[in-house]
Amino acid sequence: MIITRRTALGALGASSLLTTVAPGFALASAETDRRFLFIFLRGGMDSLTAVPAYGEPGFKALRGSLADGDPGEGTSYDTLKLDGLFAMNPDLAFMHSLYTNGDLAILHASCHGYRDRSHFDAQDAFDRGTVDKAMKSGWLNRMIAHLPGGMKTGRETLVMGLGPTLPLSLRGSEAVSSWSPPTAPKVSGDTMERLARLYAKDEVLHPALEKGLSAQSMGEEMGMGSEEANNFVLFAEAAARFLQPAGGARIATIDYGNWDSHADQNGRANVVTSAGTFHGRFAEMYLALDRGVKAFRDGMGDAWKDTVVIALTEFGRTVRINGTRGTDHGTGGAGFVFGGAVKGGRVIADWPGLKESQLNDGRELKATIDNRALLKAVMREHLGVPERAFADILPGSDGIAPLEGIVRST
Amino acid sequence: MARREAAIAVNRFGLGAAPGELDLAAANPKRWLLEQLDSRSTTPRQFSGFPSSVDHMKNYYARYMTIGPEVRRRQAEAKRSGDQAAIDKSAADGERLLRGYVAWVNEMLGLEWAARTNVALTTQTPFHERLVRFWSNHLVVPAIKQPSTISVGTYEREAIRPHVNGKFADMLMASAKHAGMLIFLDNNISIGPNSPAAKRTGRGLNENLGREILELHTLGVEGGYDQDDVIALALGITGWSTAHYLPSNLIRDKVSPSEAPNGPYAFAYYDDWHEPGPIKLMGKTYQPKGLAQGEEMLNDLVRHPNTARYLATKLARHLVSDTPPQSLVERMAAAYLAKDTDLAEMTRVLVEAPEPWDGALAKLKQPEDYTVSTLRALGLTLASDRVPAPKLYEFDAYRPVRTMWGGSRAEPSVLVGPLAESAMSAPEPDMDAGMDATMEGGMQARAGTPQAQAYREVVAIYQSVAAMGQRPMGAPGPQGWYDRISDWSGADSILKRIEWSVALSAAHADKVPDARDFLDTTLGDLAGDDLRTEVSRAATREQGLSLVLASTEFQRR
Repeated sequence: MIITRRTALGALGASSLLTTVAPGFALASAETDRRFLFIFLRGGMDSLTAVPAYGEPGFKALRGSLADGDPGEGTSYDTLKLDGLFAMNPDLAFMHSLYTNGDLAILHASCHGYRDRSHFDAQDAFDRGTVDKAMKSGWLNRMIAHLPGGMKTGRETLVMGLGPTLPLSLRGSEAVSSWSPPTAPKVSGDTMERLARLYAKDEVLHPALEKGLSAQSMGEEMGMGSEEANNFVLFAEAAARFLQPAGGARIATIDYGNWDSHADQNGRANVVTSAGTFHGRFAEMYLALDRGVKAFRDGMGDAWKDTVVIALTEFGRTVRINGTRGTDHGTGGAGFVFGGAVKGGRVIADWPGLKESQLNDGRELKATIDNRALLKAVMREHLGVPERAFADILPGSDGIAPLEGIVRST
Repeated sequence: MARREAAIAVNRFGLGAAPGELDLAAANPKRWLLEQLDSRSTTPRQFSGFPSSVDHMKNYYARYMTIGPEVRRRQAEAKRSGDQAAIDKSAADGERLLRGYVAWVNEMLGLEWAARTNVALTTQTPFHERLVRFWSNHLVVPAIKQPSTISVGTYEREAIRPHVNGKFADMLMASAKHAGMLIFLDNNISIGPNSPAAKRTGRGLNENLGREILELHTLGVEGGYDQDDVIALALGITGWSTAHYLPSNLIRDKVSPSEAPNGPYAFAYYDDWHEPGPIKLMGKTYQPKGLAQGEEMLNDLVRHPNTARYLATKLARHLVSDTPPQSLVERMAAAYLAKDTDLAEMTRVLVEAPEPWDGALAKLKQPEDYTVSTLRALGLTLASDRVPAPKLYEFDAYRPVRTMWGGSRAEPSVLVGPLAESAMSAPEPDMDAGMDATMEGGMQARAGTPQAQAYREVVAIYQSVAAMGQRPMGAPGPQGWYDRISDWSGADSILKRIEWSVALSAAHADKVPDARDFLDTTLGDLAGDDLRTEVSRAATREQGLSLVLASTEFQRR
């Protein structure tokens, strides 16, 4: 995390966080034009702040001080209209423009297979691709094994994490590496060779060293050696630089955490200084998401047309504001799927409603779509993963059919 | 045999060998460890003079809550006057005021981390320090959220350290009543929905701390509780909040008297926030007894067999292997329950068990432990070890921050020679709580002075650890740092460790006349033949040293 004055100043709302972003990033390369980026919004992003159902009767009353202005209402913080029921968070202006241009779709009232309310179990289950804790590898790593020939032949599939440690989703038997900017002078080749000999028998450290060295040289080739990249916007920019080139990486993942908003979730602009207007922490989270997506879009250039990005969170939050002006762990969440290859401009939802009787346990948005239906759709339609592989990648999801028509037909 | 056991005791249970430590432990390795379980916890000298949580609440927290309203008040006043110069000045004042506040937090955190690191570098009871770090991570308050960030050092000193060789019942109670934890997990503002305070104000419950006590502190996520139990525990500890200071919005809502009472470790119980009536938790009904209702809940939770198994599994995973033998876990859990939650007794079972002594280097040091062990091996301490204790900050936002490192005459002692050059040319600090703000603000006035250099040394080493994937005192959330090899063996993290060991060796080769002797005094009998051969063939002394520090034997434990 780079603490900027913006985030620091934003912290002055009562009990908001001083720090926000601690993302990691990972990717894979192969011979194909199709690109895939997965963004994990860790911590439980509040779906009704990201994509408010402003058309739902009594929405503002339910949400209390968390409700922003309706589209066109004329407040200083109007949400951005999607359709008659849904709007988008005011801080996601660029992502809203992607929606308007038909490059972004929203998944609402959705959740993964895990249905309890522990962040850590929920994230692990998502990363593993199953609630079964005996599974030791991650869904993205297993997916790589099932990519069709065109994505695997020619050169070795390369998977890497940007950020020093690797997300669970990428761990497993397929070749995996990670990258972040070097902080010290380069170690001499001679010392590195001697160390490589010493590591030869170590089944953990030896592969780590090999992958690390290959990622380092790839990073250097791309001129990414000195940049401070420890926040989401910079990692999103870096993702584009790895994914965009012909012959570059094709699959990447970024962790963007800290969405857990138990208290004082609505930290709107309230401090004005000569350096500008400063926002509360959660406004900063959305602004950074939007800036990162824009940086990624800009960096992808023409390759955007071959790109699908999925951004999902582990679960949604309670519908009603809690006693401390935040929301607690819930079920139905919201997510985004976007890119030039996405048939966007719509909200994909089997909307369960927000009346008391329509809520899960009387407190949270029901989940009526399983996130894995989206993952399967993109794997099948965009990456050419055969359906028979789904039982391995996402075990226990047999009954969940891929969503239809997510990807533009080419 | 004793030498091999000594190497295991010092590396697996301790913080890595300091010069002479292997010989010391070799006399009787197990006794060397067990004596550290008997020792009463005293406050290391490095912490003498550090502020308490009460000091922080009176000083820092109070300032934290007034600073935003003050900025807005001044700006509104200037706006009303319509004078552009006054408006500009109020905006500039606001920025300076806020920047000063950030700088102060960062310096305090820097001092806390430096002192904590120096304790680890100089301690005669490294196993005890490992256990402090383990339990601190189990009941973690990380520096990732304001205003609890300022409490991370005092929290560990006040709630964790005194109980590491004592009872978990006392440790959990101290943790759940500590201002740092209460603020971090929002319980300081949690109000029983049927309490008099809720009826007056419409404010209500926050289930965050209640949930994490069940999920992360006691039973574990599979410990047999459900959502109703989360609510029940959260209700049981309503009114557990902070003394000396309350969030201004609570005062504004007249939730409580504007003056909060005094309390040890800044804890206060507000009876009119507490949920009235009996509460059923895990099948048992707890009668309304005010503060004692929640205390009884915690006292039952710590004695639950699932808590015993959960704690024993975590400790055995930390010290033995990612998948500790079930029989060992059961023996540890049984000792914990038989001795009324005694942590020293549970740990003793582990030390006396055969499993940790099989010589398999099954664990990978986490980056902070790895860094500490490299510095210990070279007998280094941070220059800040010779910096006077911090003074509580006189917060005057309209003057530059220039306080806490004042009076230091210490030159950097780790960052010397080539290491200093590389660190100083490194990108601006990347500390979780933002030391860079201080670089801009407070330190500018002192650039080039010994104390500025000492501070920069702390920042640079902090950054090196962060680059390996672990921001010290900055665990990602209430779950703390994960503890399996796969959590720490990312390719980039391993490269960063190698870079660190090479840079450190280049700077401090003069302390090591012969890398082969260094191998004997650090890893001893844990060093494999391949490593011995490579070290003896090293092209230079520096290279030999870096091969030891970067070796798999040194990275594992």
